[in-house]
Amino acid sequence: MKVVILAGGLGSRLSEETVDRPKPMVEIGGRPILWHIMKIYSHYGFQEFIICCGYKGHMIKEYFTHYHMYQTNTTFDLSDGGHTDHNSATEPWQVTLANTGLSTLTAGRILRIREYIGGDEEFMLTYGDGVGDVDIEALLAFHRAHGRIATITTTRPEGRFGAIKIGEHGRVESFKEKARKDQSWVNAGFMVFNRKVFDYLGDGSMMLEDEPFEKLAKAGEMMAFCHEGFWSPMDNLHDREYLEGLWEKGQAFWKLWAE
Amino acid sequence: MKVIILAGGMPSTLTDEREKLPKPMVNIGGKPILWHIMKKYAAQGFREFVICAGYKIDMIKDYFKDFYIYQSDITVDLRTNTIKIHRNVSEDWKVTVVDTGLYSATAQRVSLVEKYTDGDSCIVTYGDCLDDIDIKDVAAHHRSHGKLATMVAARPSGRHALLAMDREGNYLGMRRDISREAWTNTGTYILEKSAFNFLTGNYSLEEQFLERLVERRQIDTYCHEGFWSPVETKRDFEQMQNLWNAGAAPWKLWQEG
Repeated sequence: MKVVILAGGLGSRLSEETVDRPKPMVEIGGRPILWHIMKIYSHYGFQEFIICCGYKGHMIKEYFTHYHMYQTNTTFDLSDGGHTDHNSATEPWQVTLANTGLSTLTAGRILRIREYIGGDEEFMLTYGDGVGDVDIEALLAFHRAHGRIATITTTRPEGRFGAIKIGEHGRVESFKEKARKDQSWVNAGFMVFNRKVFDYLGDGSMMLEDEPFEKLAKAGEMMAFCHEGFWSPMDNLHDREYLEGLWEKGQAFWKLWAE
Repeated sequence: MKVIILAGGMPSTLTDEREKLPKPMVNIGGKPILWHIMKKYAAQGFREFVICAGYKIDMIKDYFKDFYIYQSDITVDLRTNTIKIHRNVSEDWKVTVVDTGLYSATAQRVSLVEKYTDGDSCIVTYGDCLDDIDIKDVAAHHRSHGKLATMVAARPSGRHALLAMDREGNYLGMRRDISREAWTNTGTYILEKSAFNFLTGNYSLEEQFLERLVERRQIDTYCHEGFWSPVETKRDFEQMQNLWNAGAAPWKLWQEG
């Protein structure tokens, strides 16, 4: 089954880091977050990826065309311009990099990679800026069991603010520290779709999360896979530093794979 | 007829990238200015290019070496280290990238690529200007006038208001038609092969080469009434980006492929 990763957006909220690179190429522990996401899927046996490129997409293409050479020992023969990579094992990945436009909205990006899904009945989709210890195997089992068109992984993010209960005349009655279970559920990506989803994307001139998701929900074709484990987006520098810190301390919750 | 593009100048200050780009490699709508210029010439039937590079030439070479990768969708198989190209949407261009040095002035850069030109004449243009010059018409004009060089002139892009004055310096007030009298050099030329003989020393085209041709009455002008703009300042850059994003870029003479 193919895993589609949305990697074309501008990532403006991470502007200090994304002047020089697209957001999925922002690094954690010296590797792009895109790589981390692929490693999660790879851990569960998904090795075929379709990356929807857009803003600075050439950097993502270069990363993968050079990946093999950068990961192996290499001998260059300057007399004929050739080179030999020695130990050939890098990742068992097959990565398709598709130009999906500079300002195309997410539904349009998915329509543009339709041909690379081929005849597959199902495909996975996630955002190029979020990591989690999502059990992809359980996610797929859930999707297949309910038989609807779409499954999205939902999570309750860590609360940023403590909730205070206020009584009469402003009297503080209770003070609750950042409880995660009080947060509402959000879309964490890590989605599974039946190919029928293409019928809901119209001409692609909208965000996947707007009209297509609303229509799917209305038709009862969308289910939530509730993920109680860890998940974090990388929306801003604070997130990036948080993820980098976890990686450095060996506490990267999304690192399901062994060295 | 080959198109010589001057792309060797010093870094651009147009973008805030930490690593400065050569100016022709600055992107408008996700593509380098150089690509826009070449697309325009290709649309007019000129598909052989000689790029006079200098500053960060490697970046320009890499761009053309990996051109098909940037243009097409690809699949990289990391198990076998093979690349498959889908929907190859490359161009039928022939591009020669020549190292013309880091500090060379424009005339010297052009003289250094003479051996890569062929035929009786060639087009020379700047790698940081956008226009909708009808180059075939310029070529016809050039042939019919029989001079060694034809320089394309255009209306100034209007950053500085032109002042209407008479010879005594009296201000004549606001005159809308004042720009009818002002012309500027677009940096686009058609040169006869023998004009290369006048390209000696490390000078810019304007300060020495053109002067020599003027002395010999061997330079003609072609007046272009259409669009022309350098991409020199951030203001130019933003204007060009806005035009492109609005789908109103006058230099886009090609159809979407």
